[in-house]
Amino acid sequence: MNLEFLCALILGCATGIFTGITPGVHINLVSTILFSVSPFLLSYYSPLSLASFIFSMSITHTFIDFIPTTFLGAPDSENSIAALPAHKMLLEAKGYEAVKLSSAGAIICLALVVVISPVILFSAPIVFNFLQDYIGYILIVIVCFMILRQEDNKNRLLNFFIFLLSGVFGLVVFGLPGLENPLLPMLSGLFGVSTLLLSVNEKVKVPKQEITDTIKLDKKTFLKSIFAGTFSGGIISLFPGMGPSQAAILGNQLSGKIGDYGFIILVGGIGTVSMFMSIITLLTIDKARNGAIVVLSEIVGNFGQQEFLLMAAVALIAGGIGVFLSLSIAKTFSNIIPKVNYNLLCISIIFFVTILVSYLTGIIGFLVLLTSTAIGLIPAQLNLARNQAMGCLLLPVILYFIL
Amino acid sequence: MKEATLLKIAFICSASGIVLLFFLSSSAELKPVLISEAEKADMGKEVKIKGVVLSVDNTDKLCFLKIGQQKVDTIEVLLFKDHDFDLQKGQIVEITGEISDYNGKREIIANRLKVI
Repeated sequence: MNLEFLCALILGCATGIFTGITPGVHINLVSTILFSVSPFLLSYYSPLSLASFIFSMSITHTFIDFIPTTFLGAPDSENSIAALPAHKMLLEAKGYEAVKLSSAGAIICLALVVVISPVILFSAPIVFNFLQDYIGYILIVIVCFMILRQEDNKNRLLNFFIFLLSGVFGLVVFGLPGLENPLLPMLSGLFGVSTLLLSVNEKVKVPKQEITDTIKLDKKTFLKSIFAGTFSGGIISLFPGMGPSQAAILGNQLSGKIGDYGFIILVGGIGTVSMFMSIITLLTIDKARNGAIVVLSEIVGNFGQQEFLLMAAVALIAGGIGVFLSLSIAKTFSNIIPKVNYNLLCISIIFFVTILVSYLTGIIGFLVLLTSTAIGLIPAQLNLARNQAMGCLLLPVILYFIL
Repeated sequence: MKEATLLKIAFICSASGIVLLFFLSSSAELKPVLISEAEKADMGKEVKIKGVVLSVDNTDKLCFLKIGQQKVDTIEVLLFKDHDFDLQKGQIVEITGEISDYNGKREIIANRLKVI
């Protein structure tokens, strides 16, 4: 493979660091910019080199984006659901280990999905055709199960209320005219800014972080997290409107009690598996499940087996690099964050996210951010887990499939 | 999981990716390109074309060939539907309609469509 292809891969990994570290900057944004200048770039570089850049950036991003989730309390939409356990680990001086767990989940699930990809390539169209009529009902069962498994009727009612409130909010947001990127303000508020506000309110002091190998997960929990992450990340990728957050909910139900550590492994795995599955769905059912892969398919044109194998190789290389990068950057953050005034840092990030959301989505996005932040604060005030707030995505998806 | 173990797994994945890339590059089959693209390619670059032999000129040790390709042109066609129908990519159709201009580009407003 020529030098141009490899340089594009390395450059993509470097860009993935930037998109992963910076809250609010997503690979879709960079890919869209790349697509707009692609006529110029294609006169100098081959389509496969540009594809290598996009895909290596995307894979690296899935490793790095857990760092701001953990250390800055600023998750993106893919791992917003893991913000709370990651933040908890930060306050236990185990921020680095949280990133390590996420990276472990990501690389092992990636390796597993690449190994079983021949089976997935064969079965994806069959599974998709079979399940697409029932996915709405499967989701209803999952939601009902999540609510009914609460300890008492009061908690069940409160969980249902949070689900319904966030669900109706999600329906309203997706229906707002002129809001091009509804997920950014909605999920930033529900899981990001609200977490940061709680930290500021509680005057959280981040303890000195430990770079350790203390966390030991039993093999059974570890394997359950890996298989649940691979399976749910794979299944969810077949369906429109479904993302890593819903996959995390599904995976958590499938795996049973895996605790916070297992959950972080699960979420780490789902993000990377979803990204890899995008090229599988592109090849098998001609559907690109995220913006970066849409751009990749437009640039490459005819995406066949040869192109798929090249991207699989890119994923493995970028995944290995991603582990190394995420651990190195996490060590740096572990050293820096405790020395920083964390309250001031949280406030700065809140301002940054607010300005970014307002710039990218306008006044409507800003209002969505305010509302979603308010809703995101409710579970904490009621002493509930925040995962029911994923109703903002689940309810619209359920209604999409059923109606 | 110990950091050393995680880094070993990462190294194995990257190495596997590099090996896969190596095998793909050595077995990669060139895709045929249009003659117009081949003419723009850099000197020394290997290309593959597919076409019809238009002329053959043989000498003792050489063979001169002229290869021709059918040129693919595209145009936008607009159809006002009076009933539902199902057209798929890849079907061959015959369209009758009026030439029109939209945003400076020619298009056909079809009044008849026949699937062949």
